[in-house]
Amino acid sequence: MSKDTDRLAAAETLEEKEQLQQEISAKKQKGQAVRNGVGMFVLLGAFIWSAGHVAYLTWGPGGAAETDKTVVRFAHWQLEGGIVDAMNRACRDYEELKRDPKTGEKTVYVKQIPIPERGYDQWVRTQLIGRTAPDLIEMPGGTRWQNIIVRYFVPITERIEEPNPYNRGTKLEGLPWRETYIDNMQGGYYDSLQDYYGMPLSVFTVRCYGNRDLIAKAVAYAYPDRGVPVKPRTLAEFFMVCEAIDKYSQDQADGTLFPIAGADYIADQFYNKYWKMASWGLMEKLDTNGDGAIDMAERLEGVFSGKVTYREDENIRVGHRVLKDITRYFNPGFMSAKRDEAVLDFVQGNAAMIATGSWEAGSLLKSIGGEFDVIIFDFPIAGMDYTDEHFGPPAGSDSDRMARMEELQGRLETYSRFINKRESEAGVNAGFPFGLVKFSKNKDAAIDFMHYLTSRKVNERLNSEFSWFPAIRGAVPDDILADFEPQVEGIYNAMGMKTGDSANLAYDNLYEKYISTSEDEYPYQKFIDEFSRRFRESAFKDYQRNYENAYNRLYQSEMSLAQARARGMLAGIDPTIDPEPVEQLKAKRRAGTLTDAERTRLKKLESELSIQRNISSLLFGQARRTDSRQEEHHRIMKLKAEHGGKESQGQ
Amino acid sequence: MTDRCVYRALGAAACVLAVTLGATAQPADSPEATTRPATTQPAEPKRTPAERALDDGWKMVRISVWELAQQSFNKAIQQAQSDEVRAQGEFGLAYILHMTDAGDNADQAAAQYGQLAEKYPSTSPAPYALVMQARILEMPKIEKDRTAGRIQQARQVYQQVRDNYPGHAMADEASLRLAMTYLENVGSQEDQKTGARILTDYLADRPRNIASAAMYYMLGQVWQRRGDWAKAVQYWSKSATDPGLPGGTERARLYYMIAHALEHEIEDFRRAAYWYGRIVIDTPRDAKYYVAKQAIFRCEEKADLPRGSTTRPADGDTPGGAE
Repeated sequence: MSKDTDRLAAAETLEEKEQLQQEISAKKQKGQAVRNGVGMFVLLGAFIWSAGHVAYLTWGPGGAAETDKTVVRFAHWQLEGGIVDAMNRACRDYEELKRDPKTGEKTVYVKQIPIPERGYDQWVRTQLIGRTAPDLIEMPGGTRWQNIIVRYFVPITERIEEPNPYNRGTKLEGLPWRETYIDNMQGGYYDSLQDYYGMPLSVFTVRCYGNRDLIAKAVAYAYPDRGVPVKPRTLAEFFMVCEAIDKYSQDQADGTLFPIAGADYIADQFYNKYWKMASWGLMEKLDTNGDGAIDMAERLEGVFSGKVTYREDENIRVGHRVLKDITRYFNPGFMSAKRDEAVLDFVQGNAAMIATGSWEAGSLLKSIGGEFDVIIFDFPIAGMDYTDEHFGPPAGSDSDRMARMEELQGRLETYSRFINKRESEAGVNAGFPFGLVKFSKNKDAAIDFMHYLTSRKVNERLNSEFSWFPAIRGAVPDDILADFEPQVEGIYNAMGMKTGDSANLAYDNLYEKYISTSEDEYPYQKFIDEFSRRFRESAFKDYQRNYENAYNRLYQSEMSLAQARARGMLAGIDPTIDPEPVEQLKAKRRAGTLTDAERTRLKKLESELSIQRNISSLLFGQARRTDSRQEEHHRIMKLKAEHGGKESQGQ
Repeated sequence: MTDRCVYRALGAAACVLAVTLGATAQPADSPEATTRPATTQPAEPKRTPAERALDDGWKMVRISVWELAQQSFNKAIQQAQSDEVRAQGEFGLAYILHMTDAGDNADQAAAQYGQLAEKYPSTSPAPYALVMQARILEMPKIEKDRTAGRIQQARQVYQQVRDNYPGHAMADEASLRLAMTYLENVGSQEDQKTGARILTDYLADRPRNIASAAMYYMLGQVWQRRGDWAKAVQYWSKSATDPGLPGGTERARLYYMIAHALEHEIEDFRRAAYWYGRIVIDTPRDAKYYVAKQAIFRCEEKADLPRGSTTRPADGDTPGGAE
């Protein structure tokens, strides 16, 4: 009870009570006035700050009021360690470069708008609808933004055939901008729209990071004179390093250290790699139409005919079992831990290894700050070294550990038959792409700025500051990042376990349970049988939804094709254009011998050819996808009629 | 400075448009208007007020400012002195409805496209308008609305384009689309035959056209479904050597299909190795790169050929080589 209430209760006469009530009420009013005053003060302060900020943006350097200056604005969501600062430095350098040599004044201003990832989509949509969007906007890959891109962004297909002027004096001089990229600018190409829209800056791959000091110490302790490397190349070496850390932690650090920093996100990184390696063999069994992919019809035909059974298939079993073996070395309760917690565990030296992308390298290295040496290595694959003498439990292991290692050795024999080729990174495309907004008033200036950022020297410097892998040919990455270079030799994804909304949900729940509990508590057979049953129940419903979504994607690509037709109508496309003279003129441009008249002619021809190719490509893509969709539908409906939705015996 | 740059850019865009529109401006009943490619006409430097309004309209379309674009196209129609400009203006208006894609805008756009083509059949937008109309009829936003009646209407419009605008890029597309309305009925032998016949007949006259990569591919699919792998490979190879085939994933996928069929169905290992090799050479950034490399060695071994001996194409694998 408050003091005032106590006094009120203690008052004996009515007069006393009334007087007290008046006092209390006056006090309350006074308090309210003070609070109102503070509120007003805060409000006024915020207003003054906002007005000042708007005034700065309007009349400050490069502000909107400077009507004779070009202002290029760009937005992105990369707020991690040092990106914003490095981008700011590049902007200032570019502004300096563009200073008028006669007057010494800046002719271009570049404004960076970093937006947190969480609200990015919403912010971009609002800006685009309100026509207040910046000139350049970072775009996600895939089909998530397909609708937005078609409506609000400009295809840059014609522009990327011209050389990047900032590559003058380098080996890339004269090459079309597209060809200066490691991935031929595929990271900016949107398959469903059959056009280039993005200008990427960096390349991203996923690797294992290791704490060299801790691993070396643990290996020396647990495997003296066994020659176990600190950078494991094979699964046998990897498991030995994990065992060494575990043993070292038990004996020397009261069990506070873990071999791998765990979180659901980190488990996903291992899953993405090892599942693909293990399931590759399914391609041979299920790809009946020989197009190098397993579609839903092939998968269902395989399952319903009994050609592949979830319960018995070795590829599927190994794909799950190896992940169970790996995640055993994560910290307990990892499935409920978040990515940031795992990163912190690694940075603080509590975990010896972590698996994550090159996008994390900058902030990781900055946070570690030289506290320990970091090593980066590719995901180990199974070799024959498990049969070598050096494979075995650490010195002084107890009987449990001995038994575990013996079991593991048995499984390594199986793994060597399935997990022997890494995933190819030939299809890894450059990321961090910027798209040019349709209603930008400074399209040429924006492209010029992107030319600058993607010139060999600037891209090298920029990515060195980001601690990311450069996207431009010849740009040298920092030494430590060399291991992030995409490796083209390897297999690709044959088939995922997730096939549709219901199956995905079932799989996520069951897999989480399987991976985070012991084999005794939740054995593989129980997990896979349960999934098989749920898959069987939902397969046709899931397929129907996928079928409908495929129509929506076709509809979207039709909008893109309508735009291409309109461009074709305006340019008066000539389907008989011979590409040969265009190639000859391009060769002259590369050699720097193009005359002005030829340059104009080439530009016109390139533009027409580009529209023509775009229409042809879109037509091909649509026809191919329509056909695949209908053929798949026909086969699945037949299957449904034959099997009535029941999986074959033995599932 | 900024404004100057904008004006310069707009000026340049207007010049390009002037050249193309000038080239397309022909007497309304000129028979050449429908058959001759517009770009072969000489450029006309001067723009009439109506043409300038058209330019403004398309400028506004490019930056999605629909209201101003609509005003400009209406102005162009009012001030137009030729059917060509009037048709261009009406195309612009229908296009705005089509692109804004809300409510029943698309169906309204289809109607407007149809009216335009009926009123000004000899103008350059007419064949484009007809294909746009047919596509909206054939492909409504929601698949449930895709009735047999709409498909039948679309077929009639495609046929109209084929009959009235032979040799035009839109007649190419209309032929592919017409065939696809039959070919998509995968379970019907009759429809498969009809679709294939439309494509075969058309390709006999125009073996290279804006849709030929897709046409050859579809014929390959028809033969594959019939189990005739040799014919399937023959048509797929034509598609694979057509300049209209997209690069990247689509290209790698088609090369792989050809190679796989040659290796596993036809057992022509030398040609299979060649097509796997095309993946390595033409699409080195595709995920199939390494798998294709391995397959080359496998096929060379099966054919008892020395390593690296299969890089040259066989008959039928070069452009125009297959029948």
